[in-house]
Amino acid sequence: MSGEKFQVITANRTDDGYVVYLAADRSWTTSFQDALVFDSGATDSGESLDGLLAWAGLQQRDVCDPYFFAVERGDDGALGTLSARERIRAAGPEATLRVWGYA
Amino acid sequence: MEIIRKATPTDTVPRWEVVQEDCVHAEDSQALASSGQVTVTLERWRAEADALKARGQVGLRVLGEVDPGDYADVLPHVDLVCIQFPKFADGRGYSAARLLRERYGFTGTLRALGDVLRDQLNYMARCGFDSFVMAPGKDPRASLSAFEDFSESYQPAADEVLPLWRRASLPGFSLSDFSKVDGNREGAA
Amino acid sequence: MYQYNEFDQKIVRQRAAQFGDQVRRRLSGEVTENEFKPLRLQNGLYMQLHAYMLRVAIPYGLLSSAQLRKLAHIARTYDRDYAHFTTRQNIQYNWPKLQDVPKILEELAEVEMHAIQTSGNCIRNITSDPFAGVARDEIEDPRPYCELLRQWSTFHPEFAYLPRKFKFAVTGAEEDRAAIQVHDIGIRLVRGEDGTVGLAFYVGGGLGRTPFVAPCIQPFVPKAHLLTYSEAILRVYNRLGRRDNMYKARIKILVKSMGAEAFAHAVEEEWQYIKDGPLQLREQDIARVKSYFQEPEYPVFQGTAPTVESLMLSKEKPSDPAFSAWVDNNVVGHRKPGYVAVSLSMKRETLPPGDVTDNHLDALADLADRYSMGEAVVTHRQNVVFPNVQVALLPPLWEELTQLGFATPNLQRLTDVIACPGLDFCNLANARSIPVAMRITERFQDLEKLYELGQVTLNISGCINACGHHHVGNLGVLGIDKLGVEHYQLMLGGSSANDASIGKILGKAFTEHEIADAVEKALLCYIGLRTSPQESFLATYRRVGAQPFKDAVYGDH
Ligand code: SF4
Repeated sequence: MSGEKFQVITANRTDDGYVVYLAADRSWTTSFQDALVFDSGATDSGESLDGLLAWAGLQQRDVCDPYFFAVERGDDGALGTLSARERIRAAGPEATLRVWGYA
Repeated sequence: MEIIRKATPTDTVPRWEVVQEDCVHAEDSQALASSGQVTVTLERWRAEADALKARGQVGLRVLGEVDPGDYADVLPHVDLVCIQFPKFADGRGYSAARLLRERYGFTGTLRALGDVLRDQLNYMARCGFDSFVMAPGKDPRASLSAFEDFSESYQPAADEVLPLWRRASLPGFSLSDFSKVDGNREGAA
Repeated sequence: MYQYNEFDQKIVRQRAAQFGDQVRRRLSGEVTENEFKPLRLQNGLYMQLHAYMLRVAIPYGLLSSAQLRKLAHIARTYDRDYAHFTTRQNIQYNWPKLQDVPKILEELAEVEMHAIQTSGNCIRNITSDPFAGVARDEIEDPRPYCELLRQWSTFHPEFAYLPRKFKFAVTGAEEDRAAIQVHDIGIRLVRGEDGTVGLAFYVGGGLGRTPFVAPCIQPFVPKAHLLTYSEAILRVYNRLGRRDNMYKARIKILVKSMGAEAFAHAVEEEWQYIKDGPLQLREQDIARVKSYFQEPEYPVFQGTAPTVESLMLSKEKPSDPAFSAWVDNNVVGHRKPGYVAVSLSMKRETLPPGDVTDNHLDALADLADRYSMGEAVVTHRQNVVFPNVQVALLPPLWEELTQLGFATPNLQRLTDVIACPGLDFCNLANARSIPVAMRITERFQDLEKLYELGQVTLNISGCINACGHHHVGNLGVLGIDKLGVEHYQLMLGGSSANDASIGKILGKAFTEHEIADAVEKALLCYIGLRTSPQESFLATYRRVGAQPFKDAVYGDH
């Protein structure tokens, strides 16, 4: 399983700044596991990462500064992050959430 | 080209207006038409000063980073200086404008060019700019309200002689104590 | 404290309205994020990892109880019931919705607060000594000068787009508790040869990628020239500071590359032009601002005023030894007899350093009213000071603080950790700071163990930007990124006090799981090396150098 093989597109939502991921139906979801996965730059249905990233860049009203990052995919299909940054973006500020709730 | 400029007389509201004005920002190699407003770079001015003085309707065009002291000698011969902002975040043009107004006593038109955006207009005006060409694609009319965002300011600048704490209905000060030119350099330009 | 006049009031209200319009244009899709970014940043609104973050200015850290209540209300109404005190005496909300921010600014304006210039390449909130106005070692109260600087720098039209952000700190005391030598401009009130009080200017200090301790470029500037001299420095910086590389854009790089003397000369030259202009302060300009910071009316005591010593000998003193530890550690003398200044520790094992809930903020307001003449001060170590407490009221105050969890007697001790938000929140971070701070403090909950270490500071930053001041902690921890994995460098020997110094990296970086051990080893090494319990960690390190610490920390790897 190559670390750089799979990608997802992410951004922060304009209304509240929350972390969102591009889903298959071109909506934005807060659930990392529901992100649309690109395999070496293309989706199963043949849409390209570059193309959808360009499209995402136009959704200015809805999201800010979209970009893509590399993910890994377990045998069960579950997505995993490869960097501390994306892991924490997906999980939230764990220590603080534990103390102040809203986990 | 549309520019924003201070409305005359200055006591009308709105104080700023959008007008049509033609002005050729001539490249150094470009021949000048025999009439009409043009601007030239400092290098060209240095090379062709006599011809340019004879022609008239010539303004100076400089980057904000250039020290106004480098062209103070040109100021008596021009009534338009354009300061270029390569990026809105390059704040050197603000200091240059204040120096032109407050230190070198320049009273001609001071115009901002380049990456000029709505939310910088107020600061620019306070530093002494009285004319603006908005960045490409920006609507000058929609930008006019920027000048009305604030009615008060704390510090003295090119547009205001006294700091707020000396204006705020306190006894014991007189407007005539201060000129708009730096203390020691009055009239030196 | 300073009270807004109608003009101050108008300015903050117009600002809130202006931002309301900008937000409306953003939410309607009229402006793009790229265009909106510089606008929201000028109002302290960042996009962090998980949400927007709003940074509210607390000028020189001073808060009234009414302001504390408003901050609590905002946390409760628009955020997730908590907020975070920063290392620059500000407060941050981590979860505001964009459409709510204009409303928050309006609410803040009601209590004379705002978020103006809490980010962006402009002059930021002015910081000062947390004991300003009550410190015994103070030549003069620095806050009127902070306030004058605040007014002068607010929406300064010439300095809104500096090469980089710009931070002032001012102190009036002999002991530097405001870290003035690691600021862009540090101002110290000093007494001149003839006894008059003036200002010493330190310029070009700072942390970040290239940390410097600021040189003094002018040992005595008359008070009347606070603003003219500052304007001259800013103008030189605005014109000559580098703009081609954001890592070389701070004024420290300019001062370093020109040389302090040449820089001072350039400032002097600029100053000659403007020093006699209208920014020069007249006696009455200073007097008017000073009148807002006049001493409160301290009640007169019958006979001699009670002292901490007399309290400790009296039967009023609670028998719990924790009270004595708290008095020894968190209570300092006051220039008025019968009074003390009390530091509340916002650092607990279970809490992220500097975090407070809405209920905490309300409780602080209530306590400030009953024990501290309605005022509290946020410190750059992310704690809170009650500046005006009667000695006789220490026992009940201690009891109430103990219940709230703010009476931990750990000020300037290892567990009084400074930590920036780090990778839990911050977009620029390489590694998390908060869990590391919590893990290290967990190990030193035993007070005896803690006190054995004497006074020692531990500062943690999640990246080289150094918001956690790691270079000037006696121990500093810096988060770095190694191929997507968080790592931590340990540095030793920093200080932000009068003998300011920059810490040195000890050796290779540690993982999240190793760093607490490394810190503990360095501390044990110190205990073995010190000549007596009176020799502090810093003094020991300065005496013996890094090698023994290296051996102790890396030896058995
Ligand atoms: S030091 Fe770095 S990680 Fe910490 S708050 Fe500052 S920028 Fe963010």
